[in-house]
Amino acid sequence: MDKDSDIIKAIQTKPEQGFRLLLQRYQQPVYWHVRRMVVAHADAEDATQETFLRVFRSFAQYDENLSLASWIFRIATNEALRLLGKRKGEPQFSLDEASDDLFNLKADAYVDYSDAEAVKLQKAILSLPAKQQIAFNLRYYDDLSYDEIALVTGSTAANVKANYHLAQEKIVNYLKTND
Amino acid sequence: MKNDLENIEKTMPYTVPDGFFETMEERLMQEMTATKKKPRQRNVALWTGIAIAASLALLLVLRQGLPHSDGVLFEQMEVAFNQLSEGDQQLMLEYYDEMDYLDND
Repeated sequence: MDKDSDIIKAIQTKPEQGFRLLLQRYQQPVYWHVRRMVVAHADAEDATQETFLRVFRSFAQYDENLSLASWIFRIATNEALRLLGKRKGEPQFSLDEASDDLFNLKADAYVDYSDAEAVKLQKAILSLPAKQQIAFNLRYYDDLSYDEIALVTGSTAANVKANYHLAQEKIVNYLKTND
Repeated sequence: MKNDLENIEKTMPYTVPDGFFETMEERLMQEMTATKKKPRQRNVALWTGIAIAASLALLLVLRQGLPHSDGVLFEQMEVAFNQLSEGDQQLMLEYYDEMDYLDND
Protein backbone atom coordinates (compact mmCIF):
# COMPACT_ATOMS: atom_id res chain seq x y z
CA MET A 1 0.00 0.00 0.00
CA ASP A 2 1.37 3.41 -0.95
CA LYS A 3 2.09 5.92 1.75
CA ASP A 4 0.19 9.21 1.69
CA SER A 5 3.38 11.11 0.83
CA ASP A 6 3.85 8.88 -2.25
CA ILE A 7 0.25 9.52 -3.31
CA ILE A 8 0.65 13.29 -2.92
CA LYS A 9 3.88 13.22 -4.92
CA ALA A 10 2.24 11.12 -7.63
CA ILE A 11 -0.72 13.53 -7.90
CA GLN A 12 1.68 16.46 -8.30
CA THR A 13 3.73 14.77 -11.02
CA LYS A 14 1.26 12.43 -12.76
CA PRO A 15 -2.25 13.51 -11.67
CA GLU A 16 -4.22 10.65 -13.22
CA GLN A 17 -1.94 7.98 -11.82
CA GLY A 18 -1.87 9.78 -8.48
CA PHE A 19 -5.64 10.02 -8.18
CA ARG A 20 -6.00 6.37 -9.02
CA LEU A 21 -3.63 5.57 -6.14
CA LEU A 22 -5.63 7.87 -3.89
CA LEU A 23 -8.88 6.13 -4.88
CA GLN A 24 -7.36 2.71 -4.33
CA ARG A 25 -6.29 3.70 -0.83
CA TYR A 26 -9.27 5.80 0.29
CA GLN A 27 -12.30 4.75 -1.74
CA GLN A 28 -13.38 1.94 0.57
CA PRO A 29 -12.59 3.65 3.92
CA VAL A 30 -14.49 6.76 2.77
CA TYR A 31 -17.45 4.74 1.49
CA TRP A 32 -17.73 2.76 4.75
CA HIS A 33 -17.31 5.91 6.88
CA VAL A 34 -20.12 7.63 4.99
CA ARG A 35 -22.23 4.46 4.92
CA ARG A 36 -22.07 4.14 8.71
CA MET A 37 -23.44 7.67 8.94
CA VAL A 38 -26.10 7.73 6.20
CA VAL A 39 -26.91 3.97 6.26
CA ALA A 40 -28.52 3.65 2.80
CA HIS A 41 -26.18 2.30 0.11
CA ALA A 42 -27.42 4.67 -2.61
CA ASP A 43 -26.83 7.72 -0.38
CA ALA A 44 -23.38 6.49 0.61
CA GLU A 45 -22.52 6.00 -3.07
CA ASP A 46 -23.61 9.58 -3.92
CA ALA A 47 -21.73 11.09 -0.97
CA THR A 48 -18.56 9.09 -1.72
CA GLN A 49 -18.63 10.14 -5.35
CA GLU A 50 -19.15 13.79 -4.42
CA THR A 51 -16.34 13.56 -1.84
CA PHE A 52 -13.77 12.42 -4.41
CA LEU A 53 -14.89 14.97 -6.99
CA ARG A 54 -14.41 17.68 -4.35
CA VAL A 55 -11.02 16.21 -3.40
CA PHE A 56 -10.02 16.25 -7.06
CA ARG A 57 -11.29 19.78 -7.71
CA SER A 58 -9.74 21.32 -4.60
CA PHE A 59 -6.52 19.32 -4.28
CA ALA A 60 -4.47 22.48 -5.01
CA GLN A 61 -5.77 23.87 -1.71
CA TYR A 62 -4.69 20.84 0.33
CA ASP A 63 -2.11 21.78 2.98
CA GLU A 64 0.59 19.10 2.95
CA ASN A 65 1.34 19.78 6.62
CA LEU A 66 -2.02 18.24 7.50
CA SER A 67 -2.82 14.55 7.39
CA LEU A 68 -4.24 13.53 4.00
CA ALA A 69 -6.59 11.09 5.74
CA SER A 70 -7.99 13.87 7.96
CA TRP A 71 -8.54 16.17 4.98
CA ILE A 72 -10.35 13.51 2.95
CA PHE A 73 -12.44 12.29 5.90
CA ARG A 74 -13.34 15.90 6.69
CA ILE A 75 -14.75 16.42 3.21
CA ALA A 76 -16.52 13.04 3.40
CA THR A 77 -17.99 13.86 6.83
CA ASN A 78 -19.27 17.21 5.54
CA GLU A 79 -20.88 15.43 2.59
CA ALA A 80 -22.55 12.91 4.88
CA LEU A 81 -23.79 15.67 7.22
CA ARG A 82 -25.05 17.64 4.23
CA LEU A 83 -26.97 14.60 3.04
CA LEU A 84 -28.46 13.96 6.49
CA GLY A 85 -29.44 17.63 6.70
CA LYS A 86 -31.05 17.46 3.25
CA ARG A 87 -33.25 14.59 4.45
CA LYS A 88 -34.55 16.88 7.18
CA GLY A 89 -34.79 19.93 4.91
CA GLU A 90 -31.85 21.64 6.63
CA PRO A 91 -28.59 22.86 5.01
CA GLN A 92 -26.39 20.93 7.45
CA PHE A 93 -27.08 18.26 10.06
CA SER A 94 -26.26 19.29 13.64
CA LEU A 95 -23.36 17.46 15.28
CA ASP A 96 -25.39 17.32 18.49
CA GLU A 97 -28.20 15.41 16.81
CA ALA A 98 -28.57 11.65 16.43
CA SER A 99 -29.52 10.53 12.94
CA ASP A 100 -31.13 7.46 14.51
CA ASP A 101 -31.71 6.24 10.99
CA LEU A 102 -33.25 2.89 11.81
CA PHE A 103 -35.78 3.27 8.99
CA ASN A 104 -32.98 3.17 6.41
CA LEU A 105 -31.33 0.29 8.25
CA LYS A 106 -34.56 -1.70 7.97
CA ALA A 107 -35.41 -0.57 4.44
CA ASP A 108 -32.03 -0.82 2.70
CA ALA A 109 -31.55 -3.84 0.45
CA TYR A 110 -27.84 -4.00 1.19
CA VAL A 111 -27.97 -4.93 4.87
CA ASP A 112 -27.26 -8.44 6.12
CA TYR A 113 -29.76 -9.04 8.93
CA SER A 114 -28.41 -12.52 9.64
CA ASP A 115 -25.51 -10.96 11.56
CA ALA A 116 -27.60 -9.93 14.58
CA GLU A 117 -24.65 -8.73 16.63
CA ALA A 118 -23.39 -6.44 13.88
CA VAL A 119 -26.92 -5.04 13.29
CA LYS A 120 -27.26 -4.33 17.00
CA LEU A 121 -23.89 -2.57 17.15
CA GLN A 122 -24.88 -0.32 14.23
CA LYS A 123 -28.21 0.47 15.90
CA ALA A 124 -26.30 1.45 19.05
CA ILE A 125 -23.96 3.69 17.03
CA LEU A 126 -26.89 5.31 15.18
CA SER A 127 -28.51 6.24 18.49
CA LEU A 128 -25.55 8.52 19.32
CA PRO A 129 -25.27 12.25 18.53
CA ALA A 130 -23.33 12.77 15.27
CA LYS A 131 -20.17 14.09 17.00
CA GLN A 132 -19.95 10.92 19.12
CA GLN A 133 -20.70 8.70 16.13
CA ILE A 134 -17.92 10.33 14.11
CA ALA A 135 -15.38 10.13 16.96
CA PHE A 136 -16.27 6.50 17.65
CA ASN A 137 -16.35 5.32 14.03
CA LEU A 138 -13.11 7.00 12.98
CA ARG A 139 -11.27 5.61 16.01
CA TYR A 140 -12.87 2.17 16.22
CA TYR A 141 -13.08 1.29 12.52
CA ASP A 142 -10.48 3.52 10.86
CA ASP A 143 -7.86 3.65 13.63
CA LEU A 144 -7.40 7.41 13.31
CA SER A 145 -5.62 9.18 16.18
CA TYR A 146 -7.49 11.68 18.36
CA ASP A 147 -5.47 14.47 16.71
CA GLU A 148 -6.47 13.30 13.23
CA ILE A 149 -10.14 13.05 14.24
CA ALA A 150 -9.94 16.53 15.74
CA LEU A 151 -8.87 17.82 12.31
CA VAL A 152 -11.85 16.05 10.74
CA THR A 153 -14.38 17.55 13.15
CA GLY A 154 -12.68 20.92 13.66
CA SER A 155 -12.44 20.19 17.36
CA THR A 156 -9.66 19.44 19.87
CA ALA A 157 -8.08 16.07 20.60
CA ALA A 158 -9.29 16.27 24.22
CA ASN A 159 -12.84 16.88 23.04
CA VAL A 160 -12.67 13.97 20.61
CA LYS A 161 -11.30 11.70 23.32
CA ALA A 162 -14.18 12.65 25.63
CA ASN A 163 -16.70 12.01 22.83
CA TYR A 164 -15.12 8.65 22.01
CA HIS A 165 -15.25 7.41 25.60
CA LEU A 166 -18.79 8.69 26.06
CA ALA A 167 -19.80 6.91 22.86
CA GLN A 168 -18.13 3.70 23.98
CA GLU A 169 -19.94 3.81 27.31
CA LYS A 170 -23.34 4.44 25.69
CA ILE A 171 -22.80 1.65 23.14
CA VAL A 172 -21.92 -0.89 25.81
CA ASN A 173 -25.01 0.14 27.82
CA TYR A 174 -27.17 -0.13 24.68
CA LEU A 175 -25.84 -3.61 23.94
CA LYS A 176 -26.53 -4.71 27.52
CA THR A 177 -30.05 -3.31 27.73
CA ASN A 178 -31.31 -4.21 24.25
CA ASP A 179 -30.95 -7.97 24.23
CA MET B 1 -16.54 -2.07 29.76
CA LYS B 2 -13.91 -1.73 27.07
CA ASN B 3 -13.62 -5.52 26.97
CA ASP B 4 -17.30 -5.82 26.05
CA LEU B 5 -16.60 -3.99 22.81
CA GLU B 6 -13.35 -5.80 22.22
CA ASN B 7 -15.27 -9.07 22.23
CA ILE B 8 -17.39 -7.87 19.34
CA GLU B 9 -15.91 -8.27 15.89
CA LYS B 10 -15.57 -5.07 13.87
CA THR B 11 -17.87 -6.47 11.21
CA MET B 12 -20.76 -4.46 9.80
CA PRO B 13 -24.11 -5.67 8.51
CA TYR B 14 -23.77 -3.45 5.45
CA THR B 15 -23.09 -4.96 2.04
CA VAL B 16 -22.55 -3.58 -1.49
CA PRO B 17 -23.52 -4.88 -4.95
CA ASP B 18 -20.97 -7.21 -6.60
CA GLY B 19 -18.10 -5.34 -8.27
CA PHE B 20 -19.29 -2.05 -6.78
CA PHE B 21 -15.89 -0.64 -5.83
CA GLU B 22 -14.23 -1.57 -9.13
CA THR B 23 -17.07 0.08 -11.10
CA MET B 24 -17.02 3.16 -8.90
CA GLU B 25 -13.27 3.56 -9.27
CA GLU B 26 -13.54 3.51 -13.06
CA ARG B 27 -16.52 5.87 -13.07
CA LEU B 28 -14.71 8.33 -10.80
CA MET B 29 -11.57 8.20 -12.95
CA GLN B 30 -13.68 8.94 -16.03
CA GLU B 31 -15.44 11.84 -14.31
CA MET B 32 -12.15 13.24 -13.07
CA THR B 33 -10.62 13.09 -16.53
CA ALA B 34 -13.73 14.73 -18.01
CA THR B 35 -13.79 17.42 -15.28
CA LYS B 36 -10.10 18.07 -15.83
CA LYS B 37 -10.60 18.66 -19.56
CA LYS B 38 -13.81 20.68 -19.31
CA PRO B 39 -12.76 23.58 -17.06
CA ARG B 40 -10.00 24.69 -19.43
CA GLN B 41 -12.45 25.04 -22.31
CA ARG B 42 -15.05 26.60 -20.01
CA ASN B 43 -12.49 28.91 -18.38
CA VAL B 44 -11.52 30.45 -21.71
CA ALA B 45 -15.21 31.14 -22.37
CA LEU B 46 -15.74 32.33 -18.80
CA TRP B 47 -12.84 34.77 -18.77
CA THR B 48 -13.74 36.03 -22.25
CA GLY B 49 -17.25 36.66 -20.92
CA ILE B 50 -15.92 38.36 -17.80
CA ALA B 51 -13.58 40.54 -19.89
CA ILE B 52 -16.47 41.60 -22.17
CA ALA B 53 -18.75 42.25 -19.21
CA ALA B 54 -16.03 44.19 -17.37
CA SER B 55 -15.38 46.31 -20.49
CA LEU B 56 -19.09 47.07 -20.78
CA ALA B 57 -19.22 48.01 -17.10
CA LEU B 58 -16.19 50.30 -17.57
CA LEU B 59 -17.85 51.92 -20.58
CA LEU B 60 -20.96 52.52 -18.48
CA VAL B 61 -18.89 54.07 -15.71
CA LEU B 62 -17.00 56.34 -18.13
CA ARG B 63 -20.19 57.43 -19.85
CA GLN B 64 -22.13 58.07 -16.64
CA GLY B 65 -19.28 59.28 -14.41
CA LEU B 66 -17.90 57.52 -11.35
CA PRO B 67 -20.41 55.84 -9.06
CA HIS B 68 -21.51 57.94 -6.11
CA SER B 69 -22.54 55.10 -3.92
CA ASP B 70 -22.06 51.38 -3.39
CA GLY B 71 -25.58 50.87 -4.70
CA VAL B 72 -24.67 52.28 -8.12
CA LEU B 73 -21.50 50.17 -8.25
CA PHE B 74 -23.48 47.08 -7.30
CA GLU B 75 -25.97 47.80 -10.07
CA GLN B 76 -23.13 48.06 -12.57
CA MET B 77 -21.66 44.79 -11.34
CA GLU B 78 -25.07 43.23 -11.78
CA VAL B 79 -25.22 44.58 -15.32
CA ALA B 80 -21.77 43.08 -15.98
CA PHE B 81 -22.86 39.74 -14.53
CA ASN B 82 -25.96 39.79 -16.72
CA GLN B 83 -23.73 40.11 -19.79
CA LEU B 84 -22.39 36.61 -19.14
CA SER B 85 -24.03 33.62 -20.77
CA GLU B 86 -26.31 31.51 -18.62
CA GLY B 87 -23.72 28.74 -18.52
CA ASP B 88 -20.94 31.07 -17.40
CA GLN B 89 -23.19 32.63 -14.76
CA GLN B 90 -23.90 29.15 -13.46
CA LEU B 91 -20.19 28.30 -13.48
CA MET B 92 -19.37 31.46 -11.49
CA LEU B 93 -22.09 30.66 -8.95
CA GLU B 94 -20.81 27.08 -8.65
CA TYR B 95 -17.27 28.43 -8.19
CA TYR B 96 -18.35 30.76 -5.36
CA ASP B 97 -20.43 27.95 -3.86
CA GLU B 98 -17.34 25.71 -3.95
CA MET B 99 -15.17 28.38 -2.28
CA ASP B 100 -17.85 28.92 0.35
CA TYR B 101 -18.06 25.16 0.96
CA LEU B 102 -14.30 24.84 1.41
CA ASP B 103 -14.21 27.84 3.76
CA ASN B 104 -16.81 26.11 5.90
CA ASP B 105 -14.93 22.80 5.99
